[in-house]
Amino acid sequence: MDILIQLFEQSGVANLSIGNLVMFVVAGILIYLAVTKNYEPLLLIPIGFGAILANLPLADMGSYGDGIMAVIYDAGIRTELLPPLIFLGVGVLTDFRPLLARPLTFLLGAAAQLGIVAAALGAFYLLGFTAREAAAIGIIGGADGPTSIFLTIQLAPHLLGAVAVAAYSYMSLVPIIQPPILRLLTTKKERGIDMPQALPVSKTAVILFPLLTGLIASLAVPSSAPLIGMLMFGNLIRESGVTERLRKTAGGAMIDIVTILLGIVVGATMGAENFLTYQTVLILILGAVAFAFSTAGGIILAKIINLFLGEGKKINPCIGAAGVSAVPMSARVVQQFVSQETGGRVNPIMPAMGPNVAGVIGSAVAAGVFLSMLL
Amino acid sequence: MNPPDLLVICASALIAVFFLLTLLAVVMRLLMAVYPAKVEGIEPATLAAVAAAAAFAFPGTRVTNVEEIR
Repeated sequence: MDILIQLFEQSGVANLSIGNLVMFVVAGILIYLAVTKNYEPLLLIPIGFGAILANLPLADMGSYGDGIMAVIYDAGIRTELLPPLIFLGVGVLTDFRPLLARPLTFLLGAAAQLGIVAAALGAFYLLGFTAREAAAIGIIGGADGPTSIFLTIQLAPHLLGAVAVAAYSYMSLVPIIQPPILRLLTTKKERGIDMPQALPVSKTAVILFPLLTGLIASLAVPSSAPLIGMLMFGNLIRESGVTERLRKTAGGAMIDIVTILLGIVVGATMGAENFLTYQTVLILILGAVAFAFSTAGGIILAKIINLFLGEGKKINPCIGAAGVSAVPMSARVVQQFVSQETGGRVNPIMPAMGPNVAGVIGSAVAAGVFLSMLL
Repeated sequence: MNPPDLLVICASALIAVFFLLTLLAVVMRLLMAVYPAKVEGIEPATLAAVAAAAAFAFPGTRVTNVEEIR
């Protein structure tokens, strides 16, 4: 009997805390959103399951322990290896032609980083976070998971779980967050603007784009080179047309493997003792603020630009909302919103992809500046 | 040396993002001016299909020009 009691006492059941049970519910919500709503399933499922593993008492499956998750965390996250590898895959999967065809949309991708600044300043001046923590929280407004992880692990590693969950959760909630802001900030007439024809893009320009962008951005902000360098390397693999095997691997098996490892190990940082804190609640609120400001920033700049453009050359300000770099979710949301509002007459999916991919570069540059000035 | 104020850091980040993306926009616009896309002609199969469809809908019609608008 003593042996049975001893066995029970050493089981996870006997050591479960209320915090662990709450985290099981949180993980369940993430997995539910992924499975039933199809919200970022490739990330929310690994993150959700990682959170379950991290909250199994005595199993040592958290990222901060000594188990296998900690091995992956130390090798892939602490070394900052996995986020740039994700960027390599993203570069392979991203077509930058819509951006090149409308160079003006580069600016919308820049304006949509406004939320980074708004959330960082709010966290620092209103809520008492340190400057490093505030910068890590602010980057949620960039709507870019790998960039958020890359920056947070260097500036505020103890916030990694909350920041990553906020970033990916809000990315998945773009279809809910953005339409009310689009409706609030644009008129019916503006939503109905059908944009002029895009410039045709030559093969040479498409190949030179990753080379020049990688060089210019990395020379200007060297600390953004791991992200932008890998993004542009991936894009060169895609566009060169002579590295089919590399393109298939980087855009297929490699990014899938890295996504699995990154997702589960980020989820495994969500132990109850780290995640169930007052700070996490504040980070989730600030994340929503960041997304809202980023969306508004892109729309407002598009409206300002329109003041200087002649009739027939105006841009649909709704595409500014796609400057948050949740690719391609944000561009799809803009397309769906405008199409519904205009009865299918205007379909700006391709124009919206321009600021969408520019936002990826913009958030990586912002992260680079934070790193240079705060590390 | 004390680290700069977060307000300064945030302003620097926003300025850097705007400056860099504006620079990239200008460079890309120049790039496309230097290397313009070649406008390819309409495929013969497409021409034949358009001509056949027009002749079916409006007998006696002759298609003299087909232009692709992207």
